[in-house]
Amino acid sequence: MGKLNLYDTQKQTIVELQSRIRACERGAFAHSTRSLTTGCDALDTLFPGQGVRQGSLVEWLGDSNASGAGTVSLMTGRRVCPAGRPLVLIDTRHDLFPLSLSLLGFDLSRLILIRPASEREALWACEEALRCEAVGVVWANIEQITSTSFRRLQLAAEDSAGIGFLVRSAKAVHQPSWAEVRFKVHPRPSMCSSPGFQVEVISHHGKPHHSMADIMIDNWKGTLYENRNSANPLPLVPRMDVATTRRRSTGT
Amino acid sequence: MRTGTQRILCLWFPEWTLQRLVVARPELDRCLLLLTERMQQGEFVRYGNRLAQKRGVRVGMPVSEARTFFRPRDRIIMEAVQPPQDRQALIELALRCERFSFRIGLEETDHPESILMDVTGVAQFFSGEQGLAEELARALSNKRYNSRIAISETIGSAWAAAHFLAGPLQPVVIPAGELNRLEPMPVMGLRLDDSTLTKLQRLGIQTIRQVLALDRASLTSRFGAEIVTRLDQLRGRRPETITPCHPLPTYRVERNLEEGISHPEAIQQLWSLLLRQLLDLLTPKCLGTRHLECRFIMEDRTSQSLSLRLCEATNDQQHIADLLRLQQEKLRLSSPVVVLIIEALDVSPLETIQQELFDGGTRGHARQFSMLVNRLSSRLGAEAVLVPCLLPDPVPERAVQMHRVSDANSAESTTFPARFHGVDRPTALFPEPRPVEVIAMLPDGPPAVMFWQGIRFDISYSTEPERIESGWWDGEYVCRDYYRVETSSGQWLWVFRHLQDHLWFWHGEFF
Repeated sequence: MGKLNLYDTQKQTIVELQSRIRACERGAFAHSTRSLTTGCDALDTLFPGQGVRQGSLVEWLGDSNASGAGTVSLMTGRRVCPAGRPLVLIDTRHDLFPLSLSLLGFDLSRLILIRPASEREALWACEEALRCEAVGVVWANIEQITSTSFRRLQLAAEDSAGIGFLVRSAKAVHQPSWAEVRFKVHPRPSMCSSPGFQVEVISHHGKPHHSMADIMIDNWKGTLYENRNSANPLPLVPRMDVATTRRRSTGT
Repeated sequence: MRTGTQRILCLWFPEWTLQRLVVARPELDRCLLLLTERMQQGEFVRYGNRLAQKRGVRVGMPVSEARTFFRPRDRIIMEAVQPPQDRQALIELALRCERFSFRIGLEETDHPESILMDVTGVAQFFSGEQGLAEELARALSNKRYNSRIAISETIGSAWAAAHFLAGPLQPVVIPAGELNRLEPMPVMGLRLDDSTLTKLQRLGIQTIRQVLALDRASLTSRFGAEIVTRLDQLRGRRPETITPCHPLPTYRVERNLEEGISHPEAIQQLWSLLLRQLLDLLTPKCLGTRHLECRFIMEDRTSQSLSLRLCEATNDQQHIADLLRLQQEKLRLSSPVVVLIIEALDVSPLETIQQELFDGGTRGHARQFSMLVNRLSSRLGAEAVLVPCLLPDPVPERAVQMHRVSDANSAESTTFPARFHGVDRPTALFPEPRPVEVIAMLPDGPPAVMFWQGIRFDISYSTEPERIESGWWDGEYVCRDYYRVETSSGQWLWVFRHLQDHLWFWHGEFF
């Protein structure tokens, strides 16, 4: 174990003070909860507790097709899921591709995929799963959530010290939310073999807050990392790799 | 799941149909006995005794042809084969062997010839497994049965050893951990169907060792899933159980009403009462149920059922009642209920709880999770609560199979080739590929601009194409060039060009 330096002590103090402020603002938490790192420092700093707090909900909003909100939230969910606990994915759109999840490092034997027939059923399943202490992370893409339903989800998560990730479209930004933090994910041109995203904080504890991080997916490790070259002032030159060699994958 | 401590005895009666008749009527042994089977093309010889074979009669020969081999003085007896009687006689014989095992059943085929016995822990009463097998062989020989006996650690290996290693009054015992002794045996020892055996023989594959040397993925794609299942069963990597011959007790309660009831609360009260009665039958025996059926018969003689499948055996009345209540909400009864029947279809001891869905974690967590899955399956339907399983198929829409959670233990995922990495497949795959219009800078090149439902996507980056092609034997032939493309605003899409008609489709995205 490394020596604790001044920087670490300061960071720890800030986190403690932040958690005290949170407790004053929203009432003390029933459980002593801890924050789990997402494995990407840039993303961690966007969370109030420098990581995903157990017993909280996180909202991920995406603009349109291929916004990246679902992908980033899934990868974060995998990273913060406590060891030995299953992940429950509520796939309302019925298009989650488990093969991709396997390539991104998910253990499919510890994963339950729920494909409900309606958003109402999805909401019920989400609350039931959040209420179960045995579940590590509950991930759901649900569009319509009333304030009362949201509050029920938040209380369920807090009771079980579980983690809930909700993926919604950007239209939901004006709707009331009980999420600890709301992110908006924008796709960012990366011009390389991995997608890049910008994660922007919309609100902390329901209060407007603005900070952002540029992140990318590590194609080899299946993890997220900070894209430090995003401030490159050079214009993006369209590039097309014409096929020279072809990879073949056949059933033989 | 490896069942290392289990010991299975396989008792094979070659040509059981013939043996059954000869043992019952010993005088038949001195006759020319033919057992025939009527098929669409006519009547054929199914079995012939030693005398018939001596005369030149062969199995599969038309009866008319067999008659030409008869001699004038031969006493000929021809009978039709009777599979139900054969099975019943084998069951009766199995039940007479109960002193050798606490669990006896027949092999699971249409025409069984073997009895399977679980002899785990029984051998000590017979001075070892060899002693047990020899005593059984002697007892059967005294009754004029011709049998082959083998003991091994799995049903598959015991069956193979009985058929290909054991001799008359020469039982074979394969010690635990020595299943590799079966590898030189012929592939027939794998209990495969005739068509698979023919294909293997045509490819020159004669022994189990040769099959084991082949790639599992290619075995599945060429011969179907059965061959891999049989290999796994032989080596104890896939569980296989003996279905006991003894009729199992039924756990069923029923209430007939003089007047029908239609009020939901009254119906709920009635099934609560019956549920308590049913669980009172199970609880003293420390049994629980994994499958419960609740049948409502209405005044108009129509009926409706609620089927409840659980992750593990339980006799928790409150939990089962909660799950039934969730299902009752979906019930639409056309007229008042006059009969209610509740039956526990799958009953097992509470101690021997099924393999945990998720290993690790505390027992309390596993139980909580089971209860959650039961609740979700009851309300949303078992088809909505799934466990994904990867298949060795390169075509994306066929690469994943969804299993119900209750069937998850039997599901086995394959592994994707190691050359693929994190973002080689999109996180969302559309149920149907979306047809798109594409403008490419070069013929047969990657897309430069894409249009879908009036939306324009300017492509700024594209990976090299990945050709995905199915095997000709897989049914619908697929040959596509897939590209991962990035739009000018950074969206990542997965598109393909159909090589037969050069049409473009959008198949997935990093949503």
